[in-house]
Amino acid sequence: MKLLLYIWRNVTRNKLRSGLTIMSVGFSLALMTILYGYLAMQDVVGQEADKYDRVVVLNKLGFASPLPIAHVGRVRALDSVASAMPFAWFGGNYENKQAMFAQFAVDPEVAFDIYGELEIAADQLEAFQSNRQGAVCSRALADQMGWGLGDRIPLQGVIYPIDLDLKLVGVFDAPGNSGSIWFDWKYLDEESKKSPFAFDPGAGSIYVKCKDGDNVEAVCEEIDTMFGNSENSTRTRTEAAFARMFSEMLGDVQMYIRYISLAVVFSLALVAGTAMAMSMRERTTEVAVLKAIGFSKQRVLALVLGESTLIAMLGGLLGIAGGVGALALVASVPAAAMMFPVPVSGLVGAWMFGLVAVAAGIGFVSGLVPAVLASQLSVVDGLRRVV
Amino acid sequence: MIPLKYNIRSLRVRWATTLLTSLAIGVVVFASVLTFGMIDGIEHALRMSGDQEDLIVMRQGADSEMTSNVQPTVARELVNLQGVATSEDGSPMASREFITILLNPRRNGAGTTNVILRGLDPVGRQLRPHFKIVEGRDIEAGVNEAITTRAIAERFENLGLGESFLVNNVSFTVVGLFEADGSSAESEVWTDLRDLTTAQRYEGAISVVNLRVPDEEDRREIVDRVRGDEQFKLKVVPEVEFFEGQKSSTIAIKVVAYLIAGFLTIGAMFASANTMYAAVSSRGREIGTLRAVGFPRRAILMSFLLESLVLCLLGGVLGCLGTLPLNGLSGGTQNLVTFSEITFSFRFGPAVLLQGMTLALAMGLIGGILPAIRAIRLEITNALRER
Amino acid sequence: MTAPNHANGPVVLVQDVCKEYRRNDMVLTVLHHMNLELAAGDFMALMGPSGSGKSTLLNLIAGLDVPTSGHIQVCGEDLSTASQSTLARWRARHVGFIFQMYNLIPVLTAYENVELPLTLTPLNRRQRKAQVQTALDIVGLADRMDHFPRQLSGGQEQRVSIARAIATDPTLIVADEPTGDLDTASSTEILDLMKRLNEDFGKTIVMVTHDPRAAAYAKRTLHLEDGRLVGDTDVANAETIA
Repeated sequence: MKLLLYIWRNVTRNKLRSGLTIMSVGFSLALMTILYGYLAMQDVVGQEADKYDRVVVLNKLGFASPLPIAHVGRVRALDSVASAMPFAWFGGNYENKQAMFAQFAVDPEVAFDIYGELEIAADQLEAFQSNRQGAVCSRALADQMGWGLGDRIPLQGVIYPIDLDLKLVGVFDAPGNSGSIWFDWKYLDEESKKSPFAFDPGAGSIYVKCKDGDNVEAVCEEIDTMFGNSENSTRTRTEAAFARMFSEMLGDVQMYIRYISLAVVFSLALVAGTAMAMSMRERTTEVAVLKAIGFSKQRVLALVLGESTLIAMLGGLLGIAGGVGALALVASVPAAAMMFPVPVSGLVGAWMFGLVAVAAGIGFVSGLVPAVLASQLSVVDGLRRVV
Repeated sequence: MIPLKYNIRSLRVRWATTLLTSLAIGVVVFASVLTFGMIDGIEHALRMSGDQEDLIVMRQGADSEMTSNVQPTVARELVNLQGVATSEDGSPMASREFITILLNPRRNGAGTTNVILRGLDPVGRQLRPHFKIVEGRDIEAGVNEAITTRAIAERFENLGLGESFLVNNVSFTVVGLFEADGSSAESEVWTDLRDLTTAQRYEGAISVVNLRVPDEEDRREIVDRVRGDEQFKLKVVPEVEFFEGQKSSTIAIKVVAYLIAGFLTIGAMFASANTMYAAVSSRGREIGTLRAVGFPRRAILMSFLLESLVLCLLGGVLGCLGTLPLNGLSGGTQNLVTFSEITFSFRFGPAVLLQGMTLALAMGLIGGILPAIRAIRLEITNALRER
Repeated sequence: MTAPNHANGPVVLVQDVCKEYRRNDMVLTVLHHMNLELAAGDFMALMGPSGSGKSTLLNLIAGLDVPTSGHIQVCGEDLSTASQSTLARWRARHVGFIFQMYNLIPVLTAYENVELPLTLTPLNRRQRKAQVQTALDIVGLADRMDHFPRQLSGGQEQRVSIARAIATDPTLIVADEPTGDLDTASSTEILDLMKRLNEDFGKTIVMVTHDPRAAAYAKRTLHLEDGRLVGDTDVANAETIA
């Protein structure tokens, strides 16, 4: 306990230097928190998705090739499937500008069965099902856009050569941040049929609710086998895998983040190590005195390593807190909210302790050389330097 | 002015501290330059792709080639428009192209991603900058052959030279590798227009038409004519503008890049400040002497700022040198407009390196200013008495 | 070497000078109403126990510090009201320093250390070289000019520092315990050198010392105690009287 107090005194002795090292570690760890927080979010999204026993059916050719609507019926007919609906990305403009929210054509009859975790008032759901031009959106989006029930929401097609005139009839509560608006797939289909230039919208992708939560992988296989020889063969994934696919698409950027982090850790060890070495050089005589009065090598080693580790950990904790704060700040900006499907508080996890450990590790490594030098110092030499 | 050699020798005397600090700064500059080089690589690919003389004809409202479609009869009319250049063999420089997406696994096991598969007229090759086959041979029409680039071949399953991939259960064989001056074509797989549409069972379908119109007057006329035609429902986009628009793909990466550069630079500033504070505090007597001898405060301030600059610029040079072996290294990420893979080569040109050195300069100036101020605020009489 | 233009008046004129230091709420008076005159060509030793104010007085005369009250005029400049930058310019022109710890810049060679104050003058490289060489010749270290301070003995270091002090040909040389860190042989060497500077080159010298043997080299010795002048022996005049 005495030793710890002495270590703390040493940390606070040169407040400026310790402060600068702490800030240096802090800023870098804040950056890592933000980067890893983003990666962690992808994981959390995947885990969230795992809970709901859903699978996503895509055209094997990718997003740009929609699935025919007939596929929905065939999927729904499977014994292992509870329900299925088309889920078509409309991607239109709102007020002639690229919309900052996602728009999907769904099946109002089953949408809230498949998405059981979303909560909507019974009368609003009823309105959504009975009104062809009706649309529902998350409460967060409605608040952000200032929409109320009954408001008209015109969308101009970009992918589809048609315009939609939607009317907000319901608002649902979602456990995460969901910034999307849903409307009736049949409305999309009808409008497309009216236009001479439009093409068959198809189902887009198909969202499927499985009956048995333990067997979702089997359902994926069953669906893909069923369409294996059709004109539009499918690629079915669990919703978690689907979410992961998006982060995979970032490709080398993810790998790149890992490399950058490695470089940051390396450079921080250098920074903290330099500072520690400077401190120890100034304290040469002091260390000699300690040894003269009977401090063992191990004790001197512990003293120095303790100090460097403590400094780096302080920086790490500060940085992680700052990083989380920065994430929360960004998530609270409406335009960026779409990037955060889960609230920042949901990101707390083992990775944060990992980062604290990284900070502690940086401190420990940075203290190694000065600590060994100090422990090896000859008392006579050390004392002579003062004279 | 205090001679610069004073600073350089002082840095050399404390060589271990200098080296460690420079190295830490070097790593930060390295990481930042790497990011800037990546952005430059992506932007270069998009910049190289746009030719001043080329026009892209696509469906009104389409925001990418994939969501566009042009009627075959209209396409034929476009090819014969006034002003379209003629190639050496006498055919018009107009390429009809059909674009689809190949959902393809990466070789390194990091999941699957979309790769653009383009069927085009042979003349389309002349519309790309410096198209040339570098390995194997070009395709023959009618026998389901494809060509791609080395970057794609190396990164994706089934796309290597001699390998085959399936489009709607029709097998295509890669028979050659091409280069196109680092343009975005280098992120694509090419095949014959008719082979592709047949395989996709969209016989005769065309996504876009690429035109070369050398004369500016003619270009303007074509743009006006097509836009004015209610029947066509098409738009003509200058190729340069088209690829300019895709630069939004780099926004996410840019945000990450500036985030990394910003946080790390601030972190490194604390590091260089730490080193400079130590330099100032260990040289109190020297500073006192310089002042006593008659050097004005200004000279002392400049001297320590300069020393900080040398320290950081040294790190900057180390960091920049470190990136050079990676010049031309290719990577891949997602084009956020087409949702497909875009390959790029890291480019560390003078502008990118200059950005890195600017960061180093900033670290030196901002990290050095406070220690330098401390140096000049020392009381001469006290400083002279220091140990 | 040029003659100072204020040769007629005193080089140093200290009138009713007080110096106080404030530490927290305590006021510490280091010098009490000090009066002093020093003629051109004089060599004065300041003696007294630690804390007597002798170093403070030296710092004031050298323009390193300013008095709390009173006036100090050195080489024609009123130092008590001068700004920091004026003082810096003034020191560069008029004062040479010799310190107890030599205070050579460890990363510069003997030559470069002597050249350092000359970089503050408008002299060009060739002129500077001539000055440095003259100064090093006077202290007898011309053959060591490419050595770094750590390659020199203490006495040699102090001689380099003397060379640095005279390189700009200042009117006044101030020395703070110049022999305090040296053995007897080196001390004698340094003191002889200082005597020569005073007698052959007409430098006015103010030297703080503990060592009566060092003080004996001076023409005049001032004794301080508790910030007050308690004795003033003028060896040169005493001799003439005798």
